[in-house]
Order: sequence, then C-alpha cells, then structure tokens
Amino acid sequence: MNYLSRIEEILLLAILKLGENAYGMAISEQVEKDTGVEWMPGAIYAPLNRLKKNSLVKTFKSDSAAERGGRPRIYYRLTSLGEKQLMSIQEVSRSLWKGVPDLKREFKS
Amino acid sequence: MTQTGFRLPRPVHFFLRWFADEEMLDSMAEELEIRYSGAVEESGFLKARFRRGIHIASLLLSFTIETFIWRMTMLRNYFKLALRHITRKKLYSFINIMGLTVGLACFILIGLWVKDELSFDRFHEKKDQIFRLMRKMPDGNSDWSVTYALAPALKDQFPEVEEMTRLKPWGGSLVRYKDKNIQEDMIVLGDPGFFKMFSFSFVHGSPETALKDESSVVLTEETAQRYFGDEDPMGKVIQLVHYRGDYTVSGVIKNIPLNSHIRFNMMARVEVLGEDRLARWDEWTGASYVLLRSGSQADFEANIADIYQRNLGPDTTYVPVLQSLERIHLYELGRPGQVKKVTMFSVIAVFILLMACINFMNLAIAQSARRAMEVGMRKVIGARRQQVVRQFLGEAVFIAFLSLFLAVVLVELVLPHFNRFTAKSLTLLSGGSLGIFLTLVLVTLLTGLLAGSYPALFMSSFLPAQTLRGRLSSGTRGVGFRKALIVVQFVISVGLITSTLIVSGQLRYIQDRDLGLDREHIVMFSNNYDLFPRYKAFKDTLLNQPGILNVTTGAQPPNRVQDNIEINWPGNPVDQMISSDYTVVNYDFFKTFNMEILQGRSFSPEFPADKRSACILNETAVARMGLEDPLGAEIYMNHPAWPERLRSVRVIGIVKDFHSRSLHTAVRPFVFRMYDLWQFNVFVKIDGKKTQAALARLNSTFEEYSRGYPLNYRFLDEVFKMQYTSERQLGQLFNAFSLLSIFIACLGLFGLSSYSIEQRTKEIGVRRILGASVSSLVGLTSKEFLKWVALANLIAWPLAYFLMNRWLQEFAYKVRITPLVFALAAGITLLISLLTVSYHSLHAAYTNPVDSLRYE
Repeated sequence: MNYLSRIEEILLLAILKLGENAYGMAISEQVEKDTGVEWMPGAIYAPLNRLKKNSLVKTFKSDSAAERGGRPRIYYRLTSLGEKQLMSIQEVSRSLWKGVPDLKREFKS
Repeated sequence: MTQTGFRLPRPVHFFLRWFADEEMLDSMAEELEIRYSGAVEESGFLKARFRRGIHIASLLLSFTIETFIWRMTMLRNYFKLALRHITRKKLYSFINIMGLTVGLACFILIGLWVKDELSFDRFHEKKDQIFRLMRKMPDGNSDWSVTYALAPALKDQFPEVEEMTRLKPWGGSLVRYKDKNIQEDMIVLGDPGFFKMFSFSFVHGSPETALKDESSVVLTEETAQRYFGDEDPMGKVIQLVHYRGDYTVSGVIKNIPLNSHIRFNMMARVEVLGEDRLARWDEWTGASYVLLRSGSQADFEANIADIYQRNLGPDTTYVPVLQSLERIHLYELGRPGQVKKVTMFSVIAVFILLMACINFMNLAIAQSARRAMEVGMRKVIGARRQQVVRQFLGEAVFIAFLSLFLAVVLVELVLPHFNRFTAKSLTLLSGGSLGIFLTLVLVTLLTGLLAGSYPALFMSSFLPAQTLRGRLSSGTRGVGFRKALIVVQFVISVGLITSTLIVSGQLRYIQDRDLGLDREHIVMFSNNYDLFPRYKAFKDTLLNQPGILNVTTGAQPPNRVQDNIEINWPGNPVDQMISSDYTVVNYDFFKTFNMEILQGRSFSPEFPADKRSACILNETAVARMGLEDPLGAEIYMNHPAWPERLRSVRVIGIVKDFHSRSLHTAVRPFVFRMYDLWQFNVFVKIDGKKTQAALARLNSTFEEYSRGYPLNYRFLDEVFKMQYTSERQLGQLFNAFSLLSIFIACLGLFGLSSYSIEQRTKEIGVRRILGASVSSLVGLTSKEFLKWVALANLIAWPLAYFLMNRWLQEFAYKVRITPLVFALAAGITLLISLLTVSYHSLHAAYTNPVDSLRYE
C-alpha cells in the first residue's frame, strides 16, 4: 500500500463524507470539524493539489454559474484509485487498532 | 457570497500557477473570499484584510516548501543517476569534464582580466567630475600633451573648475638621504590640486597639506620605506641630485593600486620648472586634469573652445577637448586603444566556452547509442518526455558544476603565472566578491543548460520500440547538425593557427629587419652632472681601454625618439612649417650606431662651427623638403627655448634612413644637431667578444669620473625589445589559444568519430573477414572526417586572411601573407585529425570480427 500522509488521509475522508457537496471551503470546514483545529489554507490546498496530481481525487464543475457571477464552482470527488487507497487504509487501520482498549482509561493511572 | 469573484492577486496567481492548475486556484480563491467576507462581518475591514494576507502567505509558503522537498528527492535521484553514469563511462566522462573545465577556466581568467581593465581609475571618489584636457588636431587625432599655462588659466577664468592639476613625468634622478643613494625613475611633477581631485589614501599627512610648499614632495609608502625605514618621514629633507634641489617630505600615500593610469613614486611641484616655462603656451608636454562642478562638462567644453586661438593666435588649429577619467585607460589618445584588446579577448573567451559547449553536445550525443536502451526503458515505465529531458539537462548541469569546481582549482594554480604575464594582481578566491561568485554560478548554469539542451532533446525523442531492439535506426538523425558543429570548431582552430603563424612571422620580421642602425653590444646609461663637464677626458680614457669600441652621447637612443619640431627652409613652396622628428647628439654618434652617412660628413671636432650651426638630415627629410642639393642648405628649427641664432643650421651630411620609432610608423623626416644641454644618455659600444672585461673597465672608469653615482647601464637591444612587448604578448596569447582550440576541437572530433565508427563496427568486421588490410580500413573510415576538416580549412582561410590583413595595417612595415601559412595550418589540422580519428579506426579494425558480429 502506498502510505499516505495523515493530512492526505484526512482530506480523502472529508471528501468522502461530504459526498456531492465537496467543494473547497466545505472541505476546509469538514477538516476543521473532524480535527478540532482550524487549518491554514496552504496546509489544505498543497496536499489537496498533490492528491489531484497523483490522481487520487478528481475535480468536476457544477452548473451553478448564475449564482456565482459567471464561474462554476469546483467540486472534488474520489477517483477509483483514491477509493482503493482509502479502503486499504481502513483495512490497515482496523488491523492496527484491533484489540486496543480505550487509551483514555488505560493511561489515566 | 455573492461577490462576482475574488481572484488572487496577479503575482500570486502567476506564481502558484507553476504548481497547481486553474481549477485548484479557483477553489483557493473562493475559499479566501468566503473567509474574507466572514472576517469583515466579524472584525471589520482592517482585520479581514490582514487575515487574508496571512492566508495568501500560507498558500505561497506551503506550495513552495512542498515542491522543494519533492524536487529535492527528484534531484537526489538525478544526482545518483548522473554519478552512476559518470563512473561507468570513465574515459568519456573524463574527456567531457576536462573540456568544460578548460573552457570555463579560460573564461574565468579572461573574465578577471577584462574586469580589471574595465576597473581602471574607478577608485577615485570624484571620478565623474574629473577630466583630462586634450588637444585635438586638424586631422582629427587628439593628444594628451598640453601646455603648462592651460590648466591654471582655465581655473582662473571659469568658476566651474573646482580644482586643476598638471602632471608631468620628470624623469629619473639620484635621490640622497643621509647614507642612502638611490636612483629613482618615476618622479613626477604636479599641483596641490592633484590630491584634492584624486583619491589617494595618505599614510602620513593629508590631501590639503601635501604639496603645500614649492619644495614639498610626496612619496609612496614603498618609496618612503627605501629611505626612512620605520622612521617618520614627515618633514625630512631629501636631495634630488639631478635637479640640484632639496625637498621636504610633506606626505606619504599608500602604494598606488595597479589599476591606475597615473603611476609615480614621488611627486614634487611643477613650480620647480621655473615661472617662465610655466607661463608658456607653446610647449606641448605633460598632461593636465580638471575637476569640474557636476554637470557642467558640456557647457564648459563649448566655452573653452577658442582658448588656444586666444593665446596663440587665430590661425592656431588646435582645439581643446575633455576626456572623462574612465575613458583614459581604454581610449588613450581619444581613439580606441586598449579597448580593442579588451573586446577581442572578451570575444575569444566566449568563443572558447562555446566550443567547449559544442564539444559537450557532440560527445553526449555520441554516447546516445549506448544510452538509448536506458531511455527506452524509462519511457516504457511511464517517464514522460519532459522528465527525460530534465534528467539529461540535470546531468549536464551537474557535470558543468563539477567542471566549475575543477576550473576554479585550475585557475588558482595558473593565476600567479598569469599575473606575472599580464602585470596585474588578479585574485579569484580571496577576492571576496559576491558578484564574481554569483556570475560564475550563473555562467555555469547557463553552460550546463546550453550544452545539455541538444543532447537532452535528441535523446528524449527516442521511441522505446526502436531503442529496445538494440539498434538505433535513427542514427542518421541530426548528424548534419553535428557535422556542422565540428566544422565550426575546426574553422575556429584553423583561424587561430593561421593568425598565430602570421603574428609570429610579423614579430620575427620586426626583430630581424635591418633598422638602419646597430643595437647589439651597445650599452647606455644616464649622464650626470659630475660626468658631464669631464666628458671629453672620460671618453679618451675609456677609448684607451680594450674592449671599448666607441663612445658618444645623445638625448635618446636613436630608435626611441618621440620629440618633434617644426622646421622650415628657404624655397619652401607652402608657407607652412613641417613637423620633423629630431634629437641632439655628440661626436661619433653615427659611428657608434653604425648609421651610414650617404652624403657629406658627420659632426667633427675639426669644424668648430658644427657645435652651433650644423645639422644632418635623413633621406626622408630631404625627399619631403624636395631639396635637390641638400648639402649646404639652411634649415630653420623652431624650438621655443632656443635663442634665434641657434635656430638656423646648415646641412653638412645626409644619413641613410633608419627607424626612429617602432615599425608601426613609417619613417619620418629626421634632423640631427649638436647641443650641449640635452646630452642625457651616454652610449658605449663594446666588443662583443670581450663583454665582461669591457663592462668592468667601464665601471671603474665611470667611478673615477662621477663620484657617488651608481652606474645603471642597460643594453640597447633589451630596450629595443620592450617596444614590442605588447606584440610579443599578443603572439604568445595567440599561441596559447591556438593550442587550446585545437585541443578542444580534437576532443570533439574524438567523441564524434568514436560514435560514428562504432556504428560501423559490424561493417568493418565484415570487411576484415573479406581480407581488407588495416591501413585501407583506416583510410576508409577517416576519409569522411578529413573531408570536414578540409572544408573547415577552406572556410577559415578567407576569414583569417581578412582579419590578419586588418591587423597588419597597423604596421607601416609588414610581412606579406603567403599561401604557405594556409598550407601549414591545413597540414597541422589534417594531421592531428587523422591521428585522432585513427585511434578509433585502428581500434575498430583490430577488434576481433567475431565479437562485432556476435549481436546479429
């Protein structure tokens, strides 16, 4: 498996969760919600660009031209390669975390 | 969120476009806009703007860092590849690196030299306001020798002249201080304004107080060291014996930097010449400089245009011109002088580097057959063409920087010799100049990119299918271009070889040509005040010694006369005096130098009138004046310092033409006369077979007749050689560059022939089997290359002829360019090419045919 960086994983998951609604700002907000931290634009878009270059995500334009004064909004979606990557990450994560108890309780004492 | 669309600022957009595509940029722009509107609502415009700036910065930063890291990894990869490639093909890499190293080293050396030449006199603070006064003559030429009275007059009459100074080389003198008795050569005269205009740092004293009295003298640090050691020189009194005066040291300046056109060891004030001389408007000698108020140059020049007419009469044809300080070194006489050399060498530097690059290209492509498979494999696993291009370019740049490193080492090694040769003190590593470093890096980068461009494009165009089959069927593509490159290299080489041959031919001609006078075994030394009154006794004593053949005196040696004078004669059809060279001599002058008297006689003590009113002309003078019966004619020599009665002389003899100046100039009319006051030099002709003994006798006799003066004699033929130092250096430089260019051209030929012949290995193998002899095979394979070299020769000959003709025009007496020179150049290049190519031919011919046919 191609080990993705954490942020790339987070982005892919965010896009997955957002489904049809995954445009730039929404992805940022989703990441913020998931991680609890507000991310700088550079930290989102540079990895996102990488994902796009490596063909893990693809973009498509919406038809909402009228609303936005002439330019269609760009939406992001996982490619099949991206889906495969995410699946293998899930598998690996499952087997990594299998049987690990709730660490909050474990490390309290 | 109804804004019509926030866009990223133009430069940001442009920059980010390198990393991301338009859609991504759109998303970014949109997010920024959304956040901005939100921020405006929350905290107002100012804070919102600020936050937006931070967001933009974050974008820029993240993209650059990420790409940098990614590229680093890629670069590391390319680096590994390049290294592997170099170690695999040692011979080829060695040749390539060597070629570029030599090319870069030459470029650097010449670059340093050019930079120094362009930097002359830049260390003066007020350099933009300093101008030298020249006089322009009706034929358009200018000269920098002006009259003493000019500069002070200008300062008086024109307020924009802030300072002025004269600068007259005074000549040598024995200098005495306590027990030190040293002959100083570079003594000059100036005005107090000199140190206020020019920026020379003072070790003792200051610009305002230096030269404050008429008996003040300023020394350089080095000179002061000679007399005073560690003592404080200020206020000490030294004696200038030749000029019979005591001078007080009023300042010591740091040694004058080498890139200054003004050079001296000591400076005294012009007032020592006397008021009368300083008031003269008709004695043309010495230089003058003015410091003008900023910006007033143009008007000033217009205002002083008639200054010569006002002081010398309305029919004076001289016009004053200003020359800015920066131009003095390169445009000595107002015309391109040194600057021609600078341009020429710059061109050569670029040429050589270009040749090295061409070489690299040829060699790289020659290797392409071997690397074709590598390229094919890369493409199969998905490398795009751009990536392959980048790989090869990266390799070339890597090799270029490697060569740069070696070139710097080479330059450091060669620099001391180069400095001695060019009389400079150039430095590279310790120069501490960031500019040089950056320039070198840039040049190397460009070289690598240039040299790698063609091979990169060529190799990246390989189609995998073809290459993997093990045969490069596209082997004939681009061969035409490469042939052209080789021909260009050889054209340059042939051109340089021909030029070298012609230049050294001219040099030899100059040195061997009969000058009309002897210069061997003649010794000259300065006359002095002790010797002068006792000269006759000295001469008689000396002539009695064995080994001494002749003794005479004169103002200068006959081949170094630069003074001219206006002369007139009865029956002069034009009412204008003509300019003639002249010098003053003593008895036995012509005998000593073996100059042939064609008519009449030489000066002789038997005719007492000779001392006052006789003269001897050379053939050219007679021809110029159109005198049919010259003996007995009366000539008028217009020297401002001579009383009238001395100005008329009668011709008593005609001497055969000789060369009083270098062979750049045609022989001019010449007048000899006797005159007691200017016998600056003594000439002694020595028997060549008894030199040692004769010199010893000369020494002891000299000591008898001049106490306390050191005998600093020189051999005349050495002095003569100095006239042609610049030509000699030119010859040596051409020699060096010819060798270099041939070397580089051969490297290129070596590489290219290796590739071509390797392609034909199978063919050669078959021929061997069929019984062809080695020599016939060598002939077969070399034939084509020799054709190119022959072509190069044909192209280069007319070019070389044209350029060399131009150069030879500088000489009034020159060699003729014979076909022999071209034949020789052709012979040399063909021979060397043959040797180079036959290396590969022989290698291919001797390869066991079995091996070469194995791959079929």
